[in-house]
Amino acid sequence: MKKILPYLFVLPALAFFMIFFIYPNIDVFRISLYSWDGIGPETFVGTANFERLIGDSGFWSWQLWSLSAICGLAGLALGILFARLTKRGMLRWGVLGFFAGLLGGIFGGGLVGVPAGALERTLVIGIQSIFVQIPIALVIALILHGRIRGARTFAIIAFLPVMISLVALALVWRYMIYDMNVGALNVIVRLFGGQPINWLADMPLLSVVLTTNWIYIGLYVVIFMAALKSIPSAIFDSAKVDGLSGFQTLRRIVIPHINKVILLTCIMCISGTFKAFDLLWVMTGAEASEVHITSTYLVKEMMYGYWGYACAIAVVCFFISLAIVAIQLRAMKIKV
Amino acid sequence: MVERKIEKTVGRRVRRALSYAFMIGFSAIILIPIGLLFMNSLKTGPEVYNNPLAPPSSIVFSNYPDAWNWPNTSIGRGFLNSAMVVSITVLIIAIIAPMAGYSLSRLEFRGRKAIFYIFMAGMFVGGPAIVAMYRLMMGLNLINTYWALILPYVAGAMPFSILMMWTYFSAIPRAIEDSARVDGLSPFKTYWRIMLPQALPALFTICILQVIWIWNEFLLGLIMLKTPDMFTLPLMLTRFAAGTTNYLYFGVFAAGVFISILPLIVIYIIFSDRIQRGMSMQFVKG
Repeated sequence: MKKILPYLFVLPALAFFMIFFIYPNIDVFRISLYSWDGIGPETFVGTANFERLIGDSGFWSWQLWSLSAICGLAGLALGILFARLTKRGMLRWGVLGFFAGLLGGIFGGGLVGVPAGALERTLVIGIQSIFVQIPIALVIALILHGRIRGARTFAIIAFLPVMISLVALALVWRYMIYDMNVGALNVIVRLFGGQPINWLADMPLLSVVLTTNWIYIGLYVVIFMAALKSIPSAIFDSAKVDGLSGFQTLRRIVIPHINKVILLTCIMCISGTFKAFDLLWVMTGAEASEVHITSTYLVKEMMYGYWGYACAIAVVCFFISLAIVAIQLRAMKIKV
Repeated sequence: MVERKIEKTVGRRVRRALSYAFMIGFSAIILIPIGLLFMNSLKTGPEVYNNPLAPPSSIVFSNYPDAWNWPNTSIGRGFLNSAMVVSITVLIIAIIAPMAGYSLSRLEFRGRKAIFYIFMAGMFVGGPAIVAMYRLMMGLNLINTYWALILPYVAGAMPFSILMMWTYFSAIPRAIEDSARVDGLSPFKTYWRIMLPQALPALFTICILQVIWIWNEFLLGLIMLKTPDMFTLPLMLTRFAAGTTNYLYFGVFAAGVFISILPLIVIYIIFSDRIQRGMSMQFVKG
């Protein structure tokens, strides 16, 4: 009895987990090699689904990637040139220039109107949230950490949207904020004598990004506040004694202390976008929408009866998130 | 010297005022959409269309019962369906997760580490894998039943719940267990009478987090449920919105959405600290 008891205790959880989590996650790989419509028999098609994915401009656009690759190389050249002229580290500035070019290519190309696919849209939403949500959240966390009155109430309010279902929030934003007739934004536009704008139809990505940022800033505020609490207050005091300005304190003390957490939140921004489904699905009108991120694109393909193809998308996304997790695990081992 | 001090306090005051202004502005931005929702839920449809930003001229409370009993897409029905799915799921999780967490943290057996790593791997990789999940449920003949939701929900909740219980059990001193053994309690009774009661706070946090997560879950329901009568609340909401976001019934729409978020807001206000800590942990890990 004493020998089998530990197994008996762990067995129910393990059984549930193996059958309804591990098994489907493995089965996805198998189904990705089949053609299946969700009802009839499966037929083995080898790598046909993946071949289709490579040529699918709805999933990824080669134009945008070539543009950003060119921009990346140009950035690399500029970075090296700059490093040579100013006698700085070549590798560092080269890599920096390369990534800046890559990002500039994707964002710029998207703005100019180079067709974008679901993958790029996912990356753009994720990367912009790094640059928007994290700095704002850090500022708010620092303000609330400075023992202002009502800090707890402000933190509770900031976190509120994270709690509420994305479906409800998507409906609220779609019909109360962005709507042509009753949306708050258009009421304000009309007040100033402008023509009402159909936000979700004319600038869907911007609208979605705005709502996403509105929801998730509070999450990072709470994470940063917990991280700030772990910095000993004596360090802040000695900074004050040394006469460091607010910005210097931020750069020299706060950021080095919580850099691990900041890196983690950056990764969360990107990997979270790969899982985001509800918001975009409800806000932009389900499978009929033309604006997709990877997860909604997958479900759209399912709804149209390409279940094997949907699995191929899932497999590709799995490897992308695996890469992100690898970075995450490495990042978490960084000694502060 | 005195002047410098005055300068410093003035600077501090200005900074303080700016901080408050910024925080109040930010809070307003967060609260306005939700406040707007509540305000419009008390108006008639035409009144909303007339001016969505104006306060209600007279409070129309009947929007709430109307939304609750709306024909074909009754919010009340969705509410009760969701409540049922949530309670069954959380009950199962609350029974099996602490047992597994206890076993993995406190009992010695072969393969303990391997099993622990299997659970933890699930925290980082993988997701709902909906196509394969649908196939599995088709094989089990469970499509369009609540089991097609409950079983994956329980499985998906395991890694985080077990980790939380594991951490909590690991922190309880061994002496307590030893004295129970000396008193002649069987291992099962030691768990049930001594260890589990001590871990109740952690168990409670897990349950609240799962209630929130399952109450809000949308994708799995979208794939698995076919009969509108069985729809969970998020599914029902999308259908409900399609029929009510018009000139006549916009107030009813707002009331329906507000009913759907009200339970979580209440839970959140009561347990905000616990939820914030737990949820940010969950997001960091997932």
